[in-house]
Amino acid sequence: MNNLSSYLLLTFFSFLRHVWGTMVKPYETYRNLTKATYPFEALFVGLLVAGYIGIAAVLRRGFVLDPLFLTLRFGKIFWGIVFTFIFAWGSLYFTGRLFGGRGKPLSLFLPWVYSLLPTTVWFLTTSFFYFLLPPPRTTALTGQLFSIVFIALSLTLFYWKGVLYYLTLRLGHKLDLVKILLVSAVNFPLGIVYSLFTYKLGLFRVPFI
Amino acid sequence: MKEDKVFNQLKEKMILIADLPPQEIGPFTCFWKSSAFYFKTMTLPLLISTGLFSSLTLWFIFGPRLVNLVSILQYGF
Repeated sequence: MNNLSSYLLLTFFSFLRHVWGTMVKPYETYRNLTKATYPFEALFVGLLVAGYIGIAAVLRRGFVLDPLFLTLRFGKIFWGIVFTFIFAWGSLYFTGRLFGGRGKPLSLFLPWVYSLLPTTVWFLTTSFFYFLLPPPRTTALTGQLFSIVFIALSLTLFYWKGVLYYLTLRLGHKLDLVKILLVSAVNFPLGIVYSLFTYKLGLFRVPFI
Repeated sequence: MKEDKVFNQLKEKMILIADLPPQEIGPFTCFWKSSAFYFKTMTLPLLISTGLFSSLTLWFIFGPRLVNLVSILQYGF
Protein backbone atom coordinates (compact mmCIF):
# COMPACT_ATOMS: atom_id res chain seq x y z
CA MET A 1 0.00 0.00 0.00
CA ASN A 2 2.86 2.33 0.91
CA ASN A 3 4.59 1.55 -2.36
CA LEU A 4 1.42 2.22 -4.31
CA SER A 5 0.81 5.59 -2.65
CA SER A 6 4.42 6.71 -3.13
CA TYR A 7 4.25 5.58 -6.78
CA LEU A 8 1.03 7.58 -7.26
CA LEU A 9 2.60 10.61 -5.59
CA LEU A 10 5.68 10.37 -7.83
CA THR A 11 3.44 9.98 -10.87
CA PHE A 12 1.41 13.03 -9.83
CA PHE A 13 4.51 15.21 -9.41
CA SER A 14 5.85 13.95 -12.70
CA PHE A 15 2.49 14.89 -14.27
CA LEU A 16 2.68 18.44 -12.83
CA ARG A 17 6.28 18.82 -14.04
CA HIS A 18 5.34 17.62 -17.51
CA VAL A 19 2.27 19.88 -17.75
CA TRP A 20 4.47 22.90 -17.00
CA GLY A 21 7.18 21.51 -19.29
CA THR A 22 4.85 21.14 -22.31
CA MET A 23 4.24 24.90 -22.07
CA VAL A 24 7.72 26.26 -21.39
CA LYS A 25 10.12 23.52 -22.56
CA PRO A 26 8.11 21.22 -24.83
CA TYR A 27 11.11 19.82 -26.70
CA GLU A 28 12.92 18.66 -23.55
CA THR A 29 9.69 17.46 -21.93
CA TYR A 30 8.67 15.43 -24.96
CA ARG A 31 12.07 13.74 -25.02
CA ASN A 32 11.29 12.54 -21.48
CA LEU A 33 7.73 11.57 -22.34
CA THR A 34 8.80 9.25 -25.16
CA LYS A 35 10.66 7.18 -22.55
CA ALA A 36 7.28 6.58 -20.83
CA THR A 37 8.80 6.33 -17.33
CA TYR A 38 5.42 6.83 -15.64
CA PRO A 39 2.75 5.76 -18.16
CA PHE A 40 0.06 6.11 -15.48
CA GLU A 41 0.44 9.89 -15.73
CA ALA A 42 -2.16 9.49 -18.46
CA LEU A 43 -4.71 8.92 -15.68
CA PHE A 44 -4.33 12.52 -14.47
CA VAL A 45 -4.82 13.89 -17.97
CA GLY A 46 -7.82 11.54 -18.16
CA LEU A 47 -9.21 13.10 -14.96
CA LEU A 48 -8.92 16.58 -16.51
CA VAL A 49 -10.75 15.36 -19.62
CA ALA A 50 -13.39 13.72 -17.40
CA GLY A 51 -13.86 17.10 -15.67
CA TYR A 52 -14.57 18.66 -19.05
CA ILE A 53 -16.99 15.86 -19.97
CA GLY A 54 -18.90 16.48 -16.73
CA ILE A 55 -19.23 20.18 -17.48
CA ALA A 56 -20.18 19.55 -21.12
CA ALA A 57 -22.81 16.98 -20.08
CA VAL A 58 -24.48 19.61 -17.87
CA LEU A 59 -24.19 22.60 -20.22
CA ARG A 60 -24.48 21.29 -23.78
CA ARG A 61 -28.26 21.03 -24.02
CA GLY A 62 -29.10 23.83 -21.61
CA PHE A 63 -28.50 23.62 -17.86
CA VAL A 64 -29.77 20.06 -17.20
CA LEU A 65 -29.27 18.22 -13.89
CA ASP A 66 -31.37 15.10 -14.49
CA PRO A 67 -29.16 12.13 -13.35
CA LEU A 68 -30.30 9.72 -16.08
CA PHE A 69 -29.81 12.28 -18.83
CA LEU A 70 -26.40 13.30 -17.41
CA THR A 71 -25.21 9.67 -17.18
CA LEU A 72 -26.22 8.95 -20.77
CA ARG A 73 -24.71 12.22 -22.00
CA PHE A 74 -21.48 11.64 -20.01
CA GLY A 75 -21.18 8.10 -21.38
CA LYS A 76 -21.73 9.25 -24.96
CA ILE A 77 -19.08 12.00 -24.82
CA PHE A 78 -16.67 9.78 -22.82
CA TRP A 79 -16.74 6.93 -25.33
CA GLY A 80 -16.55 9.43 -28.18
CA ILE A 81 -13.34 10.89 -26.72
CA VAL A 82 -11.84 7.46 -25.95
CA PHE A 83 -12.56 6.19 -29.46
CA THR A 84 -11.24 9.41 -31.04
CA PHE A 85 -8.04 9.13 -29.01
CA ILE A 86 -7.48 5.49 -30.04
CA PHE A 87 -8.24 6.35 -33.67
CA ALA A 88 -5.79 9.30 -33.74
CA TRP A 89 -3.07 7.43 -31.82
CA GLY A 90 -3.37 4.32 -34.02
CA SER A 91 -3.51 6.36 -37.20
CA LEU A 92 -0.39 8.35 -36.25
CA TYR A 93 1.43 5.16 -35.29
CA PHE A 94 0.64 3.23 -38.47
CA THR A 95 1.13 6.09 -40.94
CA GLY A 96 4.36 7.01 -39.13
CA ARG A 97 5.61 3.44 -39.53
CA LEU A 98 4.61 3.58 -43.19
CA PHE A 99 6.99 6.51 -43.72
CA GLY A 100 9.91 4.95 -41.84
CA GLY A 101 9.10 5.95 -38.26
CA ARG A 102 10.93 3.99 -35.55
CA GLY A 103 8.51 4.63 -32.70
CA LYS A 104 6.66 2.05 -30.63
CA PRO A 105 3.02 2.45 -29.57
CA LEU A 106 4.14 3.31 -26.00
CA SER A 107 6.67 5.94 -27.13
CA LEU A 108 3.80 7.72 -28.89
CA PHE A 109 1.25 7.15 -26.14
CA LEU A 110 2.27 9.73 -23.50
CA PRO A 111 3.23 12.44 -26.04
CA TRP A 112 -0.18 12.11 -27.67
CA VAL A 113 -1.93 12.03 -24.28
CA TYR A 114 -0.20 15.30 -23.32
CA SER A 115 -1.15 16.82 -26.67
CA LEU A 116 -4.74 16.58 -25.39
CA LEU A 117 -3.93 19.37 -22.90
CA PRO A 118 -4.46 22.30 -25.32
CA THR A 119 -7.61 20.57 -26.62
CA THR A 120 -8.98 20.13 -23.09
CA VAL A 121 -8.09 23.70 -22.11
CA TRP A 122 -9.90 25.01 -25.21
CA PHE A 123 -13.02 22.94 -24.53
CA LEU A 124 -13.00 23.92 -20.84
CA THR A 125 -12.59 27.65 -21.50
CA THR A 126 -15.19 27.56 -24.28
CA SER A 127 -17.73 25.89 -21.99
CA PHE A 128 -16.86 28.43 -19.26
CA PHE A 129 -17.40 31.36 -21.67
CA TYR A 130 -20.59 29.70 -22.96
CA PHE A 131 -21.91 29.77 -19.40
CA LEU A 132 -20.58 33.27 -18.60
CA LEU A 133 -21.28 35.04 -21.92
CA PRO A 134 -23.71 32.91 -23.96
CA PRO A 135 -23.53 33.36 -27.76
CA PRO A 136 -24.41 34.89 -30.20
CA ARG A 137 -21.99 37.81 -30.00
CA THR A 138 -22.94 41.26 -31.24
CA THR A 139 -20.85 43.68 -33.30
CA ALA A 140 -20.76 46.19 -30.41
CA LEU A 141 -17.31 47.23 -29.17
CA THR A 142 -17.41 44.77 -26.25
CA GLY A 143 -18.50 41.95 -28.57
CA GLN A 144 -15.61 42.67 -30.92
CA LEU A 145 -13.10 42.93 -28.07
CA PHE A 146 -14.28 39.60 -26.68
CA SER A 147 -14.02 38.09 -30.18
CA ILE A 148 -10.40 39.25 -30.55
CA VAL A 149 -9.49 37.79 -27.14
CA PHE A 150 -11.35 34.53 -27.83
CA ILE A 151 -9.71 34.07 -31.24
CA ALA A 152 -6.27 34.93 -29.76
CA LEU A 153 -6.79 32.31 -27.05
CA SER A 154 -8.05 29.72 -29.54
CA LEU A 155 -5.15 30.31 -31.93
CA THR A 156 -2.56 30.21 -29.13
CA LEU A 157 -3.94 26.83 -28.04
CA PHE A 158 -4.12 25.70 -31.68
CA TYR A 159 -0.43 26.59 -32.25
CA TRP A 160 0.47 24.86 -28.98
CA LYS A 161 -1.35 21.76 -30.23
CA GLY A 162 0.57 22.04 -33.52
CA VAL A 163 3.90 22.14 -31.68
CA LEU A 164 2.95 19.10 -29.57
CA TYR A 165 1.72 17.22 -32.67
CA TYR A 166 5.02 17.94 -34.43
CA LEU A 167 7.04 16.84 -31.38
CA THR A 168 5.01 13.62 -31.03
CA LEU A 169 6.06 12.59 -34.52
CA ARG A 170 9.56 14.07 -34.36
CA LEU A 171 10.55 12.52 -31.02
CA GLY A 172 8.12 9.62 -30.76
CA HIS A 173 8.62 8.34 -34.31
CA LYS A 174 12.00 10.05 -34.97
CA LEU A 175 10.82 11.47 -38.29
CA ASP A 176 12.20 14.52 -40.10
CA LEU A 177 10.06 17.47 -41.24
CA VAL A 178 9.43 16.16 -44.78
CA LYS A 179 8.17 12.82 -43.45
CA ILE A 180 6.08 14.59 -40.81
CA LEU A 181 4.44 16.59 -43.61
CA LEU A 182 3.80 13.35 -45.54
CA VAL A 183 2.26 11.70 -42.45
CA SER A 184 0.10 14.82 -42.00
CA ALA A 185 -0.95 14.74 -45.66
CA VAL A 186 -2.40 11.26 -45.00
CA ASN A 187 -3.79 11.96 -41.54
CA PHE A 188 -5.45 15.35 -42.02
CA PRO A 189 -7.97 14.19 -44.68
CA LEU A 190 -8.64 11.11 -42.51
CA GLY A 191 -9.22 13.46 -39.56
CA ILE A 192 -11.64 15.60 -41.59
CA VAL A 193 -13.67 12.55 -42.67
CA TYR A 194 -13.67 11.27 -39.08
CA SER A 195 -14.78 14.68 -37.76
CA LEU A 196 -17.68 14.78 -40.24
CA PHE A 197 -18.64 11.29 -39.10
CA THR A 198 -18.67 12.27 -35.39
CA TYR A 199 -20.57 15.47 -36.26
CA LYS A 200 -23.25 13.43 -38.05
CA LEU A 201 -23.46 11.14 -35.00
CA GLY A 202 -24.06 14.21 -32.83
CA LEU A 203 -20.93 13.55 -30.73
CA PHE A 204 -18.86 16.67 -31.41
CA ARG A 205 -19.32 19.95 -33.25
CA VAL A 206 -15.59 20.63 -32.97
CA PRO A 207 -13.69 17.31 -32.89
CA PHE A 208 -11.94 16.47 -29.61
CA ILE A 209 -8.58 15.53 -31.18
CA MET B 1 37.11 0.67 -10.95
CA LYS B 2 35.67 4.13 -10.25
CA GLU B 3 32.88 5.15 -12.61
CA ASP B 4 33.49 8.32 -14.63
CA LYS B 5 30.26 10.33 -14.22
CA VAL B 6 31.13 13.06 -16.72
CA PHE B 7 32.01 10.50 -19.39
CA ASN B 8 28.72 8.69 -18.85
CA GLN B 9 26.76 11.94 -19.06
CA LEU B 10 28.55 12.90 -22.27
CA LYS B 11 27.91 9.45 -23.71
CA GLU B 12 24.22 9.74 -22.87
CA LYS B 13 24.06 13.17 -24.53
CA MET B 14 25.80 11.86 -27.67
CA ILE B 15 23.34 8.96 -27.93
CA LEU B 16 20.47 11.44 -27.51
CA ILE B 17 21.78 13.65 -30.32
CA ALA B 18 22.63 10.79 -32.69
CA ASP B 19 19.23 9.19 -32.15
CA LEU B 20 17.39 11.83 -34.20
CA PRO B 21 17.96 12.35 -37.93
CA PRO B 22 19.16 15.92 -38.70
CA GLN B 23 16.51 18.29 -40.00
CA GLU B 24 17.39 19.12 -43.63
CA ILE B 25 14.95 21.17 -45.72
CA GLY B 26 17.18 22.44 -48.52
CA PRO B 27 17.69 26.21 -48.66
CA PHE B 28 15.39 26.71 -45.65
CA THR B 29 17.50 24.61 -43.26
CA CYS B 30 19.29 27.65 -41.79
CA PHE B 31 16.02 29.54 -41.26
CA TRP B 32 14.37 26.47 -39.75
CA LYS B 33 17.25 25.88 -37.31
CA SER B 34 17.33 29.47 -36.10
CA SER B 35 13.54 29.61 -35.60
CA ALA B 36 13.53 26.17 -33.92
CA PHE B 37 16.03 27.54 -31.39
CA TYR B 38 13.50 30.22 -30.31
CA PHE B 39 10.69 27.67 -30.21
CA LYS B 40 12.76 25.45 -27.94
CA THR B 41 13.84 28.21 -25.53
CA MET B 42 10.89 30.63 -25.35
CA THR B 43 7.88 28.61 -26.46
CA LEU B 44 5.16 30.19 -24.32
CA PRO B 45 5.88 33.89 -25.12
CA LEU B 46 6.16 32.98 -28.82
CA LEU B 47 2.87 31.08 -28.82
CA ILE B 48 1.00 33.88 -27.03
CA SER B 49 2.42 36.66 -29.20
CA THR B 50 1.78 34.70 -32.42
CA GLY B 51 -1.80 33.97 -31.30
CA LEU B 52 -2.45 37.61 -30.47
CA PHE B 53 -0.84 38.85 -33.68
CA SER B 54 -2.87 36.37 -35.80
CA SER B 55 -6.08 37.37 -34.04
CA LEU B 56 -5.47 41.08 -34.66
CA THR B 57 -4.57 40.35 -38.29
CA LEU B 58 -7.86 38.45 -38.72
CA TRP B 59 -9.74 41.37 -37.18
CA PHE B 60 -8.05 43.81 -39.57
CA ILE B 61 -9.01 41.58 -42.52
CA PHE B 62 -12.57 40.59 -41.54
CA GLY B 63 -13.50 43.39 -39.14
CA PRO B 64 -16.79 42.98 -37.20
CA ARG B 65 -17.60 39.81 -39.20
CA LEU B 66 -15.18 38.02 -36.85
CA VAL B 67 -17.93 37.88 -34.21
CA ASN B 68 -19.88 35.43 -36.41
CA LEU B 69 -16.98 32.98 -36.29
CA VAL B 70 -16.73 33.37 -32.51
CA SER B 71 -20.48 32.76 -32.12
CA ILE B 72 -20.17 29.51 -34.10
CA LEU B 73 -17.07 28.43 -32.14
CA GLN B 74 -18.78 29.15 -28.83
CA TYR B 75 -21.37 26.48 -29.65
CA GLY B 76 -18.57 24.04 -30.49
CA PHE B 77 -17.63 22.65 -27.06
